[in-house]
Amino acid sequence: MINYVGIDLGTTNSAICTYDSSQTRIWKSPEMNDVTPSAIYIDRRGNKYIGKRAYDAAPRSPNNCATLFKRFMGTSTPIELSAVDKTFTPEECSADVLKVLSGYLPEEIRNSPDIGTVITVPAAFNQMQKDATMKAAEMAGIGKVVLLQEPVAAVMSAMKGRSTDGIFLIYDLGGGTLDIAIAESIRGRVTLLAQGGIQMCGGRDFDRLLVDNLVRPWLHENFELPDDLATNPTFKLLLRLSTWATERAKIELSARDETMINLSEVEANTNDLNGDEIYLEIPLQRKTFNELIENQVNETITAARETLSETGLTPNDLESIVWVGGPTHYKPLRDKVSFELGIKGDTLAVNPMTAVAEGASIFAESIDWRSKGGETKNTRGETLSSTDLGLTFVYTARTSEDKSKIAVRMTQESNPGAEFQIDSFDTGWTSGRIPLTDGTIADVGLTKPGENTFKITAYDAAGRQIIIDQDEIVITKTAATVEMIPASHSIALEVLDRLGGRSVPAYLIRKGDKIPKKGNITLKAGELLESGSSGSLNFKLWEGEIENPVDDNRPAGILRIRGSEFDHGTIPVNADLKCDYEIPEGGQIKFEVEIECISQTFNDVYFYKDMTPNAAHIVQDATRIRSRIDQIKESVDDPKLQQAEEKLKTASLLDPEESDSEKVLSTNEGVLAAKKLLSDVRKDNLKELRQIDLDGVVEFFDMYIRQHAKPSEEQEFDNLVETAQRSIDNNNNDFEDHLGELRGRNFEILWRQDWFIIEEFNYLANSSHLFADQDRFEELVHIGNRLMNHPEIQGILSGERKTTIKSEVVDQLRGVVAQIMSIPRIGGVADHDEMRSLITNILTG
Amino acid sequence: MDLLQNPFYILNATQRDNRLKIMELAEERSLLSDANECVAVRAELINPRKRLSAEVAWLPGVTPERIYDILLLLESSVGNRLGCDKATSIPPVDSLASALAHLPYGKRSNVADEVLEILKLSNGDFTEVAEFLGIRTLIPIARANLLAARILRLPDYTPDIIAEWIFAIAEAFETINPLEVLAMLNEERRASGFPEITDPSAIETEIQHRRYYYQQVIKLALENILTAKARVRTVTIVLLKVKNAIDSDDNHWPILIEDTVDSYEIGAQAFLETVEKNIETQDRKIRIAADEETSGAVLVPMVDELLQTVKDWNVIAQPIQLNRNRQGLRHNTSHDVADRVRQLAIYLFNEYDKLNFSQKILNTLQEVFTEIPTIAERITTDLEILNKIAKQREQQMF
Repeated sequence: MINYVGIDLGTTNSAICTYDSSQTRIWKSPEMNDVTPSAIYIDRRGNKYIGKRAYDAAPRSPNNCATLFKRFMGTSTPIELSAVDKTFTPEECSADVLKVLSGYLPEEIRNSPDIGTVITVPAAFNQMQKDATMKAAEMAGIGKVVLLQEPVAAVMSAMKGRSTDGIFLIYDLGGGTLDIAIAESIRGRVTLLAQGGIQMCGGRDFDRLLVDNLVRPWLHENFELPDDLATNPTFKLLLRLSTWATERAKIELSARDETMINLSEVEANTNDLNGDEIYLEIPLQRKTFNELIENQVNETITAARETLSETGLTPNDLESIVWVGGPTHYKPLRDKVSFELGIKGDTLAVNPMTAVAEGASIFAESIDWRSKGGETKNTRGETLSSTDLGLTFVYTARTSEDKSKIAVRMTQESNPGAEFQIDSFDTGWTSGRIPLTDGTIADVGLTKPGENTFKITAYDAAGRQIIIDQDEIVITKTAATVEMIPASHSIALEVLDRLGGRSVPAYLIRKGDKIPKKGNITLKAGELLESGSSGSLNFKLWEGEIENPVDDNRPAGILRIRGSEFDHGTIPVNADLKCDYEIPEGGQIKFEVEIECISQTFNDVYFYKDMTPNAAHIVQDATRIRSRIDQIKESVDDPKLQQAEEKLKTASLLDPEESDSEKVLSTNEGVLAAKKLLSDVRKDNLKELRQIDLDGVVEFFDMYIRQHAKPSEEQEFDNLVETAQRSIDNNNNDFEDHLGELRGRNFEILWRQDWFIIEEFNYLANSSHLFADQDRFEELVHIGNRLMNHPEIQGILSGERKTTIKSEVVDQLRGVVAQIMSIPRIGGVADHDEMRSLITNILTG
Repeated sequence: MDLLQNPFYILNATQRDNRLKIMELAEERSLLSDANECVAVRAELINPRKRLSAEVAWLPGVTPERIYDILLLLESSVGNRLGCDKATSIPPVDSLASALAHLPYGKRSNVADEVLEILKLSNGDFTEVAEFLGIRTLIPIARANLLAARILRLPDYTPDIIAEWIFAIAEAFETINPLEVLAMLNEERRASGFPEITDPSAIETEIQHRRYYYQQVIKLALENILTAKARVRTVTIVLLKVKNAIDSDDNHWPILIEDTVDSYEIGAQAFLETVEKNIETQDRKIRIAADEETSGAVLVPMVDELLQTVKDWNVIAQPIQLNRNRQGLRHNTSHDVADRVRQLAIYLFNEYDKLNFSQKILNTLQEVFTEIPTIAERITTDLEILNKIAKQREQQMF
């Protein structure tokens, strides 16, 4: 029998569980705890400790310890243990934790060849992070492994043995992330309706709030400490110990109304500036804690509401909230979330600390471990009969219900009077004789969890037995089944909607679609690519739901087909690019591009790369988003804009040279969240914003341009305004194209006007600060000034010369203005981000 | 999503089935057909948000029993006229009988026989069948869905028939009222126990998805027309129908007609590019011939050939020009072609004083590009100048 193992590889704590088709069992650490801290400690002699001992040593010997490495999975961030001069990858650290957890299993399970392990990952993990987790499992020597999203595991555990049908909200608040899932259970069959959450929100953030707002002020009040306490290296140890003591007190607060954040002088082992020994003795009441975490908790409530709204459900439609994760031990948090959402808390509580590992082990049972890709077991079974009748019995081979169905399929018409009968090997139950006709469906009862065996017998019209090749069938009654796992976010290629058009997403998978998914999409080349040339066709992959602009999503990878990668031929504009892709539950997307015109297929190409931005990029990105918020604020009053600004606050304080990876990642999450909010505001107010833009461009035309436009140009402009207005009314995606075209028309007419060229030159000549190449700027302004002194232009300026007479001098000035305009601007599009700096040159199919 | 690929159809479910019934149907169907597909569509129907796509792509407002009657007939020849009651031709009863006789085993129902009976009694008059099936009272979204499903199953893809169907789909889509759809769907949801839709924008989004689907269907239907000439004719008939149907002052075309021309444009692009290259070659040859001081007798057929090519090119480009011009958008390729040929006229006059050739070319351009005012305006100015010169010359001669 295969041993089903589930591992919750958490940010702060990990757990391991097994399932024997009827019961789950959590394997405890040597300290007899259900969970093991995800921490590594290496002492001076090179001895490695993993788990509680490492966690306890971390505050005192931070440079000997590695913690929170899960947050860096899939990035190239090194995990440095400077005290012992060692550097690890996040995968290596995770592999160590996995090895320790596996060690808790009895030897007969651990060393058995029949073992299948499911490791959970956050729903928000991208493909690279999943790939890194698989790599860690490989390093740890864990044999067959399949990844599973944490919320799905939590749902499996929560729905295990649940007899009530209904829709549930799973609120999984861990050490580092919040996962929300809305799941519907009907007779033990679980369907995930939606998933959501926040990447950087968890118990660790609560600890930080306590330290920043309670512990540090208390220390300043009671001891003589420098103003730069937070960054002063002398007090680094004290702050770490304070965080540790705070976390301890926070946990105690789950069981009582008030507690004390305690750290003795001996434990603190630090003196203040006056030489006094520092200690902590800070009373902590639930009221204070509740106030401090209020904003964070409110954010989790907003995330839950958003996820709920994706399903089209209201709180009234939900049965209850299922609590998962350490921080949900705290009752006031549960009460607040429950009250605000208007959904009652769960009465059949799961163990919040082990639910994910348990669910993973239950899920492991549903995997066909003999299959190459760890596919889920077929829920449908077939047993064949004598082929001359074309008779097949098809049945539900796996179900969480108390009954299953067996159907008759026949390719030929049966003789009247033919019958069949089903008998249970386990209980002796029999169905009695049932007419053998195509499409007949019979119910069979499942009396026990696990395997239930039945025998099928068929008879012809004369009562003779029909030979059935496999007359014994096994139907497994499972704890809970999740038949469909939805994608946690959309994945799209960035393509142009037409030649010279704008970027739009071409979705490979939409959030909520069933995974794994195989598909194909035919795109077109948007640029000519010759063999041997240095150019490339750029397939840019994004994760997220933002449709406009596409590059506000989370970058996921680039695939470049370079001219140097094929020896002969040319890929012309509009050439078909046939893309086949496969999105598995874990690991990388498989992507293959077939280009017929050069008879070549590009496959096995590395799509993903480390997309972790550095601090300087984040600061730059945040500045750009802030200016977009300011712009939108001029016409829209939406509280989400303020929230977006809040999310950017950390970025505004970020040092472009910042090297603290956790801080950089967390700031980046803030920027991504701000982009999402901005996109929501735009979506919510799309009609109003578009109308403002259109009215503005029309007003400008009427005031300044119409008088100079030819009748045909006026007609064209008016027609285009009507088209744009229809786009607004019908919520069409082409409005921005029309707006750009209208602006272009305005400029085109202005450009013909001599007075405009003269005014534009004067404006540009006085704006030297805008241009990056000052020498070129000066040179052109010098030429322009000479032209400005020409009698023809002076005549225009004084009104003596009619502008209707064509002036060659103005034409020359026009050329100068055009050249000045082409000089790159300071602070312009200088983007260092590779994804954004590469042009989009793939067209929609 | 085609009607016969709709989750409701796959599970043999109705909009009024509750969750349990859908689970039950999915399990049963999964034993008799593609199990994976059944799991996926079941999940779609159970999720209130995703279900919306299936609901909008179904036949809102039609009773469950009637839906399956209609769908049963969809694949038969009687469906030729389903939802398209402006029919002039009548489907032959014989071919209907044959279609019904070939319905899959077990699919034959009383309704098929009833339809057959009605057709026999009414001497093949389809209007009574339409009445019987309630086709006339379908709300626009249901009508558009039905038409879109049927257009791909038509036995004949002639320009007249396809144009009629495209126009009918576009007309139906234009009159879809999201609030009416919302009310219909909520009525069914109340019956099935699914939460009601409270956000009308969700319906609007789904309707836009339908628009995209109808575009694809129309594109496929056009592709089914075998020759390029017939395709042009189809689009031209559609545009003529639009012109006749709308008020002359109304600049508002049904959005799907615009989409149809857009999709036609993509299909015509390769042809237009090839002919544009021919025009380029012919232009170059004429210039070389002029530079070599070739006689007028040789130049005449060369210029005539070029002008004929431009006219041929324009036949294909005209639907695009019409559509773009009405929207205030430019068809750059038309501008490029007009400009190239205009430059040739100017060249022949400026360099070789071939006034007649230039006038001839410009006159043809004026005639060809009459749909594009900016080009027509420029050509008119050129012609005025040339005509003035011609007049002056005439006066000098006498």
